[in-house]
Amino acid sequence: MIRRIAHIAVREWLEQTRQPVMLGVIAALYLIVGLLAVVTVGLVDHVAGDPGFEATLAGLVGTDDPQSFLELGCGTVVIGYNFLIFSQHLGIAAVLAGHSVLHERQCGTLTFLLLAPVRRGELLAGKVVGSIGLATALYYIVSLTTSWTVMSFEVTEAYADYLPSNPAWWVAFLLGGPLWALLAGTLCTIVSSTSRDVRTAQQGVWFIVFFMTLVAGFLLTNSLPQGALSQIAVAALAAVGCAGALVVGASVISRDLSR
Amino acid sequence: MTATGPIVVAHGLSRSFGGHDIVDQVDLQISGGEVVGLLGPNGGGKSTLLLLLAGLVRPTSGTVHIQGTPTHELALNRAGAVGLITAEPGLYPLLTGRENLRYFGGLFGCSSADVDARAEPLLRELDIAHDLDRPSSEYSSGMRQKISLARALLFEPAVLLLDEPTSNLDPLSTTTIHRAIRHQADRCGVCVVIATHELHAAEQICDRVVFFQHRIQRIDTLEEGGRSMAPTALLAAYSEVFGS
Repeated sequence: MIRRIAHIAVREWLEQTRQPVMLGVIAALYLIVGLLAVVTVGLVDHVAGDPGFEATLAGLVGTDDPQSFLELGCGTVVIGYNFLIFSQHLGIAAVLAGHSVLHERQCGTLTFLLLAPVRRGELLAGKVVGSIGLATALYYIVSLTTSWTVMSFEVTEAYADYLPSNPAWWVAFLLGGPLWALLAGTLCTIVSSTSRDVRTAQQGVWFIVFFMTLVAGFLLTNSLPQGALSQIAVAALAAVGCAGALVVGASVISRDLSR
Repeated sequence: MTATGPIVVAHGLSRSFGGHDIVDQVDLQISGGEVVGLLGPNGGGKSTLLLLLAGLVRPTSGTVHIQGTPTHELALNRAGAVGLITAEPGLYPLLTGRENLRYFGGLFGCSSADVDARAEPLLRELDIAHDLDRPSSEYSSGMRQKISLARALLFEPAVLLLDEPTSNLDPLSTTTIHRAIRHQADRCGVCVVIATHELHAAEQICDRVVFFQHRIQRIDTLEEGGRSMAPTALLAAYSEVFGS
């Protein structure tokens, strides 16, 4: 079973590596979000503590405590950055998976896949892992690098809960985010397998992305200060969802080409 | 032709879509080594009949057995028993011809080396062994269809189902594919069903022709008149069945 799932996934990866522009766009999205955070926090870090700048800032925004104002701004950037790395990954996973089975229909290969000795659950799992695998690797590499860089600025100390210095962040980053992406991917692969045209699939994907955006905000980002255990629970919820979606999805994907 | 018992047995096979009977009460038996042509007008249900025989569309009623196995159990219980070619070759455009063959072979549990070894004589027969390392999107229609045929024959299927395999192909590619199909039936005992509009091709390679429009209208055996029956004779028969 694992061998067949891996075989299907590896074929997806091979095809994706022949689409360097698509992978470049995904990497660019992660990178832009990360660089925006690094540059913004870096600038704040640079000007914080400069009496001349703080006096100018106090005059501009009418505050008695420009340092707190800067810290608050920095916090907004850090929290927003976390939300964006999670929501980007969930969205990218959803879009990639939302085209996966439809791509087989368009290439005319679905017919031949259904003739092969592959169970529907294996086909679904292979398509999901194949669709989101490379995007997840890019998420790990780019987002970890930029998060680590953001954490290195002193000005972010007050927001350590949202950065790699917090064990909960690691659970969310390594486990929770990817598991929720896997769930989004599974649901969107099911959408893809039941859609007969691209527009229907796209709307189905957006429906799922909308709810995943809420997940990225409330479950993966806002609950980071509540600690690692709460993030483990969030990841476990996604794992249960994945298992359920795979079981339901395997029964939804039909061996009847007319459906 | 290699004479064996019936390999494909369809009984009372029907499929309807939206209340319309696309395939209606088909009873058909096809033996190993036999090439059966499926002739009929567009929209007459030939493709649906082939998909029913392949187990890729569930019948509304009736049954199909291939070597005694119900077709809906074929993929998991008798994988490779059916080879299928559709008018659309069904290759991944970004993968090379070889990668496509290895991928589909791998789904059947074959290593790349095993797939290469199995494919080699087929590729030579189809005259495409030298050109398999370019992306499929760069191949001609004929080349893609030949790779599709090689994929269908990779696991020595008992039944080969072809849905207009040579539509839009040049005469040389068409001849190569027809020769390979006939070869499979004669030497390997494969049971072949080919849906086509090419009466001349049907006359050349088929042992029987089934005139089909939602149901079997008539079956002609070409053996006695031989496959030498003039295309005009087949056209006359076609006109007689579907004329006006």
